[in-house]
Amino acid sequence: MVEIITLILMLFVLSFLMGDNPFFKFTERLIVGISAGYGFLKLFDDGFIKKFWIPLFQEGQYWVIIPGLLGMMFFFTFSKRWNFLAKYPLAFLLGTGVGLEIGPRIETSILRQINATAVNFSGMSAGQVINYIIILIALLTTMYYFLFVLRRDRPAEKLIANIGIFFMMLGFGASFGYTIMGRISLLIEVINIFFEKITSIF
Amino acid sequence: MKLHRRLVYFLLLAFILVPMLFGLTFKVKPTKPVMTFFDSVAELSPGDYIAVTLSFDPSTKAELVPMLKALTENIFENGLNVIFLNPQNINISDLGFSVISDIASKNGKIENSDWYYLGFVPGDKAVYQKLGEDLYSVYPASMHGVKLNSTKLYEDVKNLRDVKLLIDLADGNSTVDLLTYLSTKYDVPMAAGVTAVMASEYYPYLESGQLKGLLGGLRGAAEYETLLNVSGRARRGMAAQTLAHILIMLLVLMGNIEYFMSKRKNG
Repeated sequence: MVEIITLILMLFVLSFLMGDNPFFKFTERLIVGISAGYGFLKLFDDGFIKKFWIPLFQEGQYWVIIPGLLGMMFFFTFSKRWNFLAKYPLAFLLGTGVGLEIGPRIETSILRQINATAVNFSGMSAGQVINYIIILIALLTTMYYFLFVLRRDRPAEKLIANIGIFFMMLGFGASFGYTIMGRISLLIEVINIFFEKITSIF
Repeated sequence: MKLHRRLVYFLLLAFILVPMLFGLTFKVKPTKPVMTFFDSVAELSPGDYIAVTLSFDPSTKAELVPMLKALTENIFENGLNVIFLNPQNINISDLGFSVISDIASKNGKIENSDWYYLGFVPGDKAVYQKLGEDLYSVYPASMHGVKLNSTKLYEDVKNLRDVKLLIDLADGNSTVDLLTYLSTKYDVPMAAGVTAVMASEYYPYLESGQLKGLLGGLRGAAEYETLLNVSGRARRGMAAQTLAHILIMLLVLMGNIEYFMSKRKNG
């Protein structure tokens, strides 16, 4: 029975290829409803029950009252008179979020990346050296393109910016190619599941 | 010339169906990022701990479940202990568990002894940060409620700094978040398996050595299966994938030729 339902729903979704229709719309709403229901229950169980209710009422961890109350203050959003109170937990979240983010993010995505471009060529093969030089040129020319305060009147300046554009285009092309690969993989999986379900039914 | 979009769908379906129906397979040659990923797992000793985060939704299972299967097989074959967790994506809990428990029982591995499934916990980045300090304040129990302080894990691992390798299987930004809050901060070696859409974004981290290996999309999973010498779903899908890519390249070329010809015609 489960196989038949899966198969029918798959066909309903694929029917969108022929144009929008009630079968597709029905399946779309079904997915949204099920996802929302599942997500709510899972969050309620893993968040509220396991992280607040059990620690407070079964394990006597009274400190969870503070984050619990802060979280519940979000419900003041629904009150016209008291909705300013919902801004306090938001401010807390923003403050801690920014504090957590800035230092480690700079270290991971900027400092270590800069460090990786400054390499010692000794002991490297010719191919590796060429690769690193290309990476360095790509980095500098792309960054030059984004220096908007500079005028690019002279041919040499235009050339550097255009090399930057060229490398960016290569990057976008690679991303597009990978995106196609991902979408085709999904289609292959849908066809695989389709055949599996057909086989299990008959 | 106008090519009707339904004809494109039909052609694409045909290019995918034909190799699948005739069982056509292509040789898959592993690339450097996949080999370094494989080596990172292979160089660990039996009994070492490894952590695998499942940061994806069922919508991308086509690409990431083949990776998860191949990786889990490899981990169990190498005699490693493994902690599975999904702190980022709520919807993968049950699906991830069923995939892993099937492979574990096939390999004679026991839950809460050889492998642990900790599931979801809300908190996002704060959770990542805390995992590097105290695993049990985030996860006092496994997904099915087994208290972790009564397991062997509690004696061996205090936080994720004690694992020898952290692997993120992801369809979003979780890999960068884990690199930021866990790997870089606490010096935990890390590798990743990501969807094809995300793969190009992570190459800089591979080049800088922050990632010890990278599996990109179904192709990455197929290469990993090749290294393990198994014929899984990913390898079987590569012929269809290749032919579909050839079709799309032809369509892109045709579209460009048509564009330039019409441009010339209209002056």
